[in-house]
Amino acid sequence: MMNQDNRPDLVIHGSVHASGGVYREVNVQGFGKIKGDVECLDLHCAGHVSIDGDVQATRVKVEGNATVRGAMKVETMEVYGQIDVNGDVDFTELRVDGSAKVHGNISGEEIQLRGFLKSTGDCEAEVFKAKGAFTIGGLLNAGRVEIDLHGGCEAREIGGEHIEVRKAGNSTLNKLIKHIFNNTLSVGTVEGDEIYLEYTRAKVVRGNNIEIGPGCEIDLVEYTGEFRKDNSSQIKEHRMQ
Amino acid sequence: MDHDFISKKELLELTGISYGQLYRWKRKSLIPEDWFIRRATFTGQETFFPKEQILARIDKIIHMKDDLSLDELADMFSPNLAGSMIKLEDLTKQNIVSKSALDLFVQHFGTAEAYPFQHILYAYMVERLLVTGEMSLDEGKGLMQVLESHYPHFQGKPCELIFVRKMGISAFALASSASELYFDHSVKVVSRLSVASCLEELKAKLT
Repeated sequence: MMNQDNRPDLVIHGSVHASGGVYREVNVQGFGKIKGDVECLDLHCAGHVSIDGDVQATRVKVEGNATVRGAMKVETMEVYGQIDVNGDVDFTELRVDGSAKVHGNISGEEIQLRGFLKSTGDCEAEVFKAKGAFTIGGLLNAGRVEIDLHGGCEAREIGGEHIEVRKAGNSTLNKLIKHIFNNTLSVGTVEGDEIYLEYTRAKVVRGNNIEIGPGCEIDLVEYTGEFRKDNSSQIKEHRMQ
Repeated sequence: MDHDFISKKELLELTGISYGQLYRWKRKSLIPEDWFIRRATFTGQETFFPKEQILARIDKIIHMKDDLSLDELADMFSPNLAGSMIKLEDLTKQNIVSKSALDLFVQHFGTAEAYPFQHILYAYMVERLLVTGEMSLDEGKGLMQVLESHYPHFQGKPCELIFVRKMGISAFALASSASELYFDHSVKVVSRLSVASCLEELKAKLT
């Protein structure tokens, strides 16, 4: 790390082409194109930025629109607008209230999702809390997975210690948009120690203690401990191991 | 090909670990990504593992997780250093091993372009004791021999090096961690070194 005191700031107001480098703060209010890797403490984008390289930052806040060509390594990232990353994303804390699309793997400590998250690869975290919609092309692997279904959610596989999927509360708005959005989770396999599922379509659910709530369609449930199911759910086969 | 691989289900049955544990270890990189092999079966896609490797690794994790945190374990298994070859000049350049310890090391292992990480660990431990002035150069030779012939038996399990002296005669012993040892009162325990912590220190210095 370079001495932090003499790092310059990069402030973009208006339309600016800049080169990457080591900065203290990168602040984009207008339209910025940055060519090269960026290393900084704060990256704040309220306008539109496209970075043609990797990003390494302590804090990232995207209120506008950001595109990153390479990979990202950040401590905390908050996305209220939109971000599109072409490589992997490593973080400690990630909060997505807007939309984040990653063409690679996502890994970090904690994910709070209220908007939309998409990854083509795996998604790993200690805590994954979703109150939005997501599409995960690979494995969603977290110690604690808590999903409140507010939209269509999809993953190839979910694995972890504690997995909980619930339908979002019965507010009037939810009832109205229920017909437009399909608030279900579709997943190939769910594997975990403690599993509770609602409105989930899955091929296989495996674990110790499994409770299947309402609205599920599951081909096969395998359990070692307890198993309970709601009558409105369809389970083709269930067996104790 | 099939008996060299084990399905995830069989693996859990055989080792008695839970899905949650397996996924946590994967997350902590205790089990490398490329050991998870996805294959199509008649029930859909299943995950398979290279049998021997995964069983050995899980055994190690289960036996060591009480002594080390998961992160420390991950570090130990991280392939970037443990399996790598290290050049002598890197050691001198970064001041990890002093000239005299290095000479001893070269005397013992012969000259080569690069050395396996484990041998460098021996040199580092010798250096640790030399620096404190507790051990003479001559005794260092003995230590090098003890480490080379006996440390591999521990197969990465945590152990301790015990250096004792009685009436001017020195001796080295390697013991698995947390074992209690008692000597007669004319024995002076000069130094006890945890190999795992040496390993960690060395890794930290090399990176």
